[in-house]
Amino acid sequence: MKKFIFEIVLLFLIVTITINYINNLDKPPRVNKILNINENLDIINLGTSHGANFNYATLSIHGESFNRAGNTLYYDLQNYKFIKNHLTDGAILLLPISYFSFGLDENRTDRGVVNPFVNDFYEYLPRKSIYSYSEKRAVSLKINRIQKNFRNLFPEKKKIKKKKKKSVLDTVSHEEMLKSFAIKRVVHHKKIGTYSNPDKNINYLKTLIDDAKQSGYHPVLITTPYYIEYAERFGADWLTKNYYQYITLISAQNNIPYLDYGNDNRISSIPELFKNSDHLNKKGIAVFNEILFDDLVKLGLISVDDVIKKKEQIKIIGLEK
Amino acid sequence: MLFNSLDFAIFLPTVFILYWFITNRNLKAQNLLIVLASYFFYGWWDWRFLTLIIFSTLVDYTVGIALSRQANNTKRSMLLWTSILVNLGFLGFFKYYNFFLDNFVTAFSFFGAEIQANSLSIILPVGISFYTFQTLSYTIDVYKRELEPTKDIIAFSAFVSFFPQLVAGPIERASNLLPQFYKKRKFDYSKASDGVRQILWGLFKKMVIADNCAEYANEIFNNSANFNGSTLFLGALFFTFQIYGDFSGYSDIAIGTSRLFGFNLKQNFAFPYFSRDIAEFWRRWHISLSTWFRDYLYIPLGGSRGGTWMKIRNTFIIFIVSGFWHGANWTFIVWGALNAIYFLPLLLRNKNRVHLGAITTSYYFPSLNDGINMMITFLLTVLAWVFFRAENIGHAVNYISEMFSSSLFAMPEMMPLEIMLLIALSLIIEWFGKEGLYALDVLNKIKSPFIKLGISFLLIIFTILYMSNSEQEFIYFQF
Repeated sequence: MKKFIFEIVLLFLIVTITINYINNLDKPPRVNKILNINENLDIINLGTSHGANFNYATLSIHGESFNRAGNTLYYDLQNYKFIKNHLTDGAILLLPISYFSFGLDENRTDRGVVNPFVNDFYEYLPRKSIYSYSEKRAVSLKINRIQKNFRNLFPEKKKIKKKKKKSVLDTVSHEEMLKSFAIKRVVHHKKIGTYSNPDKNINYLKTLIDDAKQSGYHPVLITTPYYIEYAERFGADWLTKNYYQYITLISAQNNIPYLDYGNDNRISSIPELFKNSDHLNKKGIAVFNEILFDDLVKLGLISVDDVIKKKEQIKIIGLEK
Repeated sequence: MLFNSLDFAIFLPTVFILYWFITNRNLKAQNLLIVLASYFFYGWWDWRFLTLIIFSTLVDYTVGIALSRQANNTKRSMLLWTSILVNLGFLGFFKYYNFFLDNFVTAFSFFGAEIQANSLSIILPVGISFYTFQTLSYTIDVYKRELEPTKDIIAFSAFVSFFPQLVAGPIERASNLLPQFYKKRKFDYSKASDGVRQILWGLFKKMVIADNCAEYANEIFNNSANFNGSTLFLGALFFTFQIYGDFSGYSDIAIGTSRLFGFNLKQNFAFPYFSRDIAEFWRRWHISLSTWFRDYLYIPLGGSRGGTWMKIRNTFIIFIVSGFWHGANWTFIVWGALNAIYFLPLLLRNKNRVHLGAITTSYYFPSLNDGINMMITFLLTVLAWVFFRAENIGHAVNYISEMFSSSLFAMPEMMPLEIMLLIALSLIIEWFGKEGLYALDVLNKIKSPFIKLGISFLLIIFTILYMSNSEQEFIYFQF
């Protein structure tokens, strides 16, 4: 019996070491980014894909974006908890809240049964942080990762794709594209924006803000810029009922700044600044960040010296003609 | 509880430790542990149906004892029929009630009589076809005075519910398994480590071969109207390997698990796809069911002792009943009948017992003649599986007619090379291991524990790397 048990334990150990090795060979870029934070951060942002509108390259302080497409406030809270040890004293926490954020449920069940939304979180968050943690799913995802990493050891020769020549979009066609995109997106975002009970999301956000404040960080609520067609199609009533009543209340109750660029004339009415109806392009990001950082200076959260001069900024972002 | 689940990965070592370290000094305690573990294993799926197993156990235990005390043949027959009616009654109700009802309604409406009948929403208890046949064999053997009835209710309950083979066989005979519960089991290192290898090989067949094939077979069968002939042929091939990997994989895990606890179950699959004719195929496929029908149906019907028509009749009965055992659908009946048709030429020419020995033992490759026969037998089997897998007869007929259209020679619309290579690999391993009780049995000849351990390691890693990530139930659970 001893020999048998010894062999089984030995086998188990060798297999565990091997699969752990293969498992850790590679992770998705988003997971790698969060697992490999190697410097203390002075400013970060969370949020959905709208959180991709931030670029800290123009700041002399260290900043990083930890947004994720379609992210929920529950996982913003969990990501914050995971990252907070890497924040410097008095760090700034930008919290972009999308119009639909208060209506999402924790695990994005609006996406159906086969819903890969939470998969990445299983790669780095502790099990208690994962909503409705499933051991089966954890094992299944681990096996998926191992299989992917193993296959990546023998990469297939990829066919070289010819780069498509970009067609020069004239202003009208780009505007039309933004408009048609806005129509579709607003319908979808209104649907998911009322999918779940907002109270729990408000609580998640409050918990995050409370903890951040207690830890000496500076949370700032933000509505990122949207193209005018997108912002207006929601309708004032819908936005008041499902968004503004919550975000203004949270800002007031917690005494934290709220910066609303959702339908900001300096950006929202300029089609050239948008990639699509609710996401900025490179140029738009530069313009938006300049405005944002000026506002942060005004709020006394960063100093003028933290913001690199405009020329340098344009050079860094690569917008020089 | 599925063998390929995390639940079982926790359950098995727990029971193993309790069995060998806590209850090992007392045979009754060990048997009781098996009963409790088996009920837990079964109840994990649906505890309500445990009552069926317990009731079936009590009936056959009581009938067995009553038979031993009864000399009067009429009363003995009545006792036997009590057991048959109870067991087949459960099976008939849970498995066939709706089928018969629907067919009666259809038959009457065909003759113009409209009948109002509501079919019931019945859940089929997992494994009912297996454990009812196992308990029936006990009662029939006792009735025929070929077996002494047991007075040990715990041993008998353990025999009926023994968890490794409870839900999908092998269907054990009381004469083989029951006496093993009477004797004290000793831990045997080589038996246990070989058992582990057999479990690993079974898991590989199930999780790598069967589950990967299932993804393609399901896609092709569910959308058969959209595919060309060669793709449909590929779909039939995938199902052929799916069902083999699934069922023989289950049997390997069941047998391997039993060996960990010191039990020997009978071989259930003996490399059937290397068979040289259909008679040999049925001696190698689901052996425990084939021999059950042979002993308890074919032989009592007269077997091959009567004239030609008697032989033909009995052959058709056994194959059709065997088909019907698999499920309440005409597709299974046609599948059984088709196999009977395949069998008939051999039977009429008295060639159904030509290939009784091992398959080409002394050569790496089969002779040309054997190779051709294997190929023909395999293709006939592939064709029959289409009926087994199809939703209904119409689906099967359309599938086959489209498969044999001119597009049979066109390029398949999907070509999953990785899975094909894995199937080829498993076939090669099975070919070289075909002299053993399972493919890796041959490793017992190797003395070095490191080589054996290395092979187990490779098997686990290979299974993890290539397993399908869609956890599929074992096909035979639904039977």
